[in-house]
Amino acid sequence: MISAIYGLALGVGANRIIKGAKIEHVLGDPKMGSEKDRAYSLNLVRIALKTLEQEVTEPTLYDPYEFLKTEKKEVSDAA
Amino acid sequence: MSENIRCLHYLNQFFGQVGGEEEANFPLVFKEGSVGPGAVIERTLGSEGKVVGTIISGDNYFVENKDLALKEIEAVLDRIKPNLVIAGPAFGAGRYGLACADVCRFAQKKGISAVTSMSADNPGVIEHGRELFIFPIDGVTSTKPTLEKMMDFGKRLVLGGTIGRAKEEGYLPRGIRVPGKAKEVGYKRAVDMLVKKLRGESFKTEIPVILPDKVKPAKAIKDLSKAKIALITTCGLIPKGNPDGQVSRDPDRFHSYSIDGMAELESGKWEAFHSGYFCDIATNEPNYIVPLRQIKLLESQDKVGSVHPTVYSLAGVNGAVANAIEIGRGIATELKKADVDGVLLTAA
Repeated sequence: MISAIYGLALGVGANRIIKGAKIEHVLGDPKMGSEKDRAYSLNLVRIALKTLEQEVTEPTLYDPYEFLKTEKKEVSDAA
Repeated sequence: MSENIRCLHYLNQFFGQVGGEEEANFPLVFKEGSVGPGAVIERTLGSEGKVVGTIISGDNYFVENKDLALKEIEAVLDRIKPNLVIAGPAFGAGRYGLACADVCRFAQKKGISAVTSMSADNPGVIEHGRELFIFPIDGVTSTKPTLEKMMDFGKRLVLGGTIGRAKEEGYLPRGIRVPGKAKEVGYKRAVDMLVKKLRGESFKTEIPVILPDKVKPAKAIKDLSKAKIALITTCGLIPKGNPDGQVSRDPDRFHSYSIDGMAELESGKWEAFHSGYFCDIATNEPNYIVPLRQIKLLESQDKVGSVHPTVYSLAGVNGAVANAIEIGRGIATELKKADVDGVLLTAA
């Protein structure tokens, strides 16, 4: 579940929650300009899908930036 | 005055004294008079009536052959003509609880009063709690007092006595609000409650909040590149012009739209309709609320197996929990039918 009001999602017990951008534009940011915005939005969706591959036992909140950092670290560690 | 109450009792194979789990496929039978816990009913009725018979069915038999079982029950009802059906108590047993609820609902449909009992978290309550008089029960030791309460209540159902509210009678609330008159006016009750709260004393709210169900997290998807993903939104996606009249708040249903063959949600063809946020931005770029363009791109890169060709939408503002449960169940049923592995749900 991708939501900008992720605190509410946690409170009612959604199980995999990804922090969205803003209430009015959950999956992107028009201020970024089209190209950057599309890349950002694609990344959000990609990360959201990635969380479906993670085993969870309780409502879990994912921060897309933290997720990216971990991914990058894994890549550099592997290299 | 004798035989005012003609009570038919429903039991599963265990309480019907047929056997345990090994007899779960035991077919439905009718026996004259009371069996097992039915003796309590018989005693409670005294000269006011009697247990005209007992229906016993294996737990599996009933749930696996529900239509047939209900036909068999109909034949008994038509022949024996009871005016009260008592089912259970089923305690925490899921199949038994569902069967008790089904039997009672069927009897009610035929104009026969019905009362059942099971634990408050039995699936029978969750599925049918709003339609039935269900008396909660914890353990087997409470069988006698619970059946006595049910009979006192059931007798009044049949004979036309006054039926009180859930908390007075002891049955589980059915979600029905009955107007009534309180002893004190509202502001006084509210202030009294606040004072109690500040003093740390116990108080009872007049507007209980129904909490959403705890849902067990779905298992992780093993291989996303082979998974079928569905898109759902509570951000209120509508085709332009809102052809099927989706509401922008208080939803009581979900809407399905085909996205088959589309590479993205084209602006101008879709809109956002939701009374909880400023919708213009999402109307200009509907892929902000349903990420079709993004997921189709990931699909073309083999990062996702496939995208379910239907998107489910509603505006999740002010939604009542009871409606939300029904809506969620409805969507889940469609997803299961379509062998969907995972869902991306966008909420504001």
